[in-house]
Amino acid sequence: MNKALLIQLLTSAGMVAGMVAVAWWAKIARPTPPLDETAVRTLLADDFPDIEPDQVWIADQGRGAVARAGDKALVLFRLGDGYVARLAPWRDDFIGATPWPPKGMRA
Amino acid sequence: MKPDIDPVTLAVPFFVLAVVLEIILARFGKAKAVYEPKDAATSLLMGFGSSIAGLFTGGLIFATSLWVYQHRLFDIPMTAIWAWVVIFFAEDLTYYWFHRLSHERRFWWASHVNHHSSQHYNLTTALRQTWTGGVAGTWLLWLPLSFIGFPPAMVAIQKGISLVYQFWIHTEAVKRMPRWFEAVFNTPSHHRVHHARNPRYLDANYAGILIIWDRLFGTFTPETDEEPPRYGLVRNLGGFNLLHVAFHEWIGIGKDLLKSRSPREVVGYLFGPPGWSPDGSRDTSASLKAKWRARTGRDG
Repeated sequence: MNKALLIQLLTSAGMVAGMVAVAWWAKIARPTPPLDETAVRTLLADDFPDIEPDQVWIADQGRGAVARAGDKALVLFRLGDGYVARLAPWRDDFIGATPWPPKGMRA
Repeated sequence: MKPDIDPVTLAVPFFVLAVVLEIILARFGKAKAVYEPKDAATSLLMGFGSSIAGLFTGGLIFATSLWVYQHRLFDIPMTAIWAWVVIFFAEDLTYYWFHRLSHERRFWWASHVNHHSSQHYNLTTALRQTWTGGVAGTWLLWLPLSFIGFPPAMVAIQKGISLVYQFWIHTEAVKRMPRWFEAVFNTPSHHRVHHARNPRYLDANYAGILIIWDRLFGTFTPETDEEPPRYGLVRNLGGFNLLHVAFHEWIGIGKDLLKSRSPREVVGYLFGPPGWSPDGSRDTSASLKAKWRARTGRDG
């Protein structure tokens, strides 16, 4: 690797670190209050508009949730200041599962 | 290998200053922008990694362009203004079809998907670039320009100008540009639609610099105030792991190919629209839009 390229890469890495530091300092992420049932249903409706959950359970101290719709589970978990939703076959051990999300849901 | 004048390299200080300015303006309530540090780090590191990946394939791409140029049809002078006007439109049209292909066929989507994997839309999202573009081979689409007779350096410079232009449109800080500008150029509003995961906005606004191509080829969708864009993928990623961001769709293709049972399935998994499956059990953009139309009774 030549010296100019090395300097360019190191400078770029330094600039990345600097910009991330400024973003961290600014604290302008979305607010993420603990989820309640209304918020969960709204979030799930974005991803699964054709599925109406029968029942909702809050998980992970308000950072996630699971909803049941027949034989389906709608799993919700926080990522950064957003949420990720997954559809899976229903399992009773989703309720109260730790750690959250249940194994295999992040993939 | 890059031309002597590389617009993207020259613009890097501007990129950094613009990101910092967007954050500071948002911090003090002067502009709309949302930054989550891990998300921003992922975007910036994807951009950093993309530059490194480009070192491995850039030479091959430039050498191939030179070889094609040696068999050119015409001699187009790099110093002629008319030549720059023509390549501006020709390159932008090429970009439109590259971008459309990158969304509508899974093989090329696998390379492009990471650019859409953030749930945020800010200036760092612009820098969330592919690591596998050279391997995906979409650069081949620009070779006809060299075959016609545009010098490869000229093509590379115009590609760079297009990329630099597209940086500033990745923002929520600008609501709408003047009407005449929105009619002709790609803008933050048009590109927010492109990054949205709402069914009504899927597979729309592929433009690079000029939005006229979307209007011409029927892929234009305006942003509406009644339905703000929600950013990210139809099925969002579950983490910030850079390797997963860069390669997850390639891995998905590999898994599907391993279980495919006929040449039709192989072709479908590779070159069908993202979400294609033999039995139609997965959703594609078309099926999601159809369901949205059925739900709402709207066109779009």
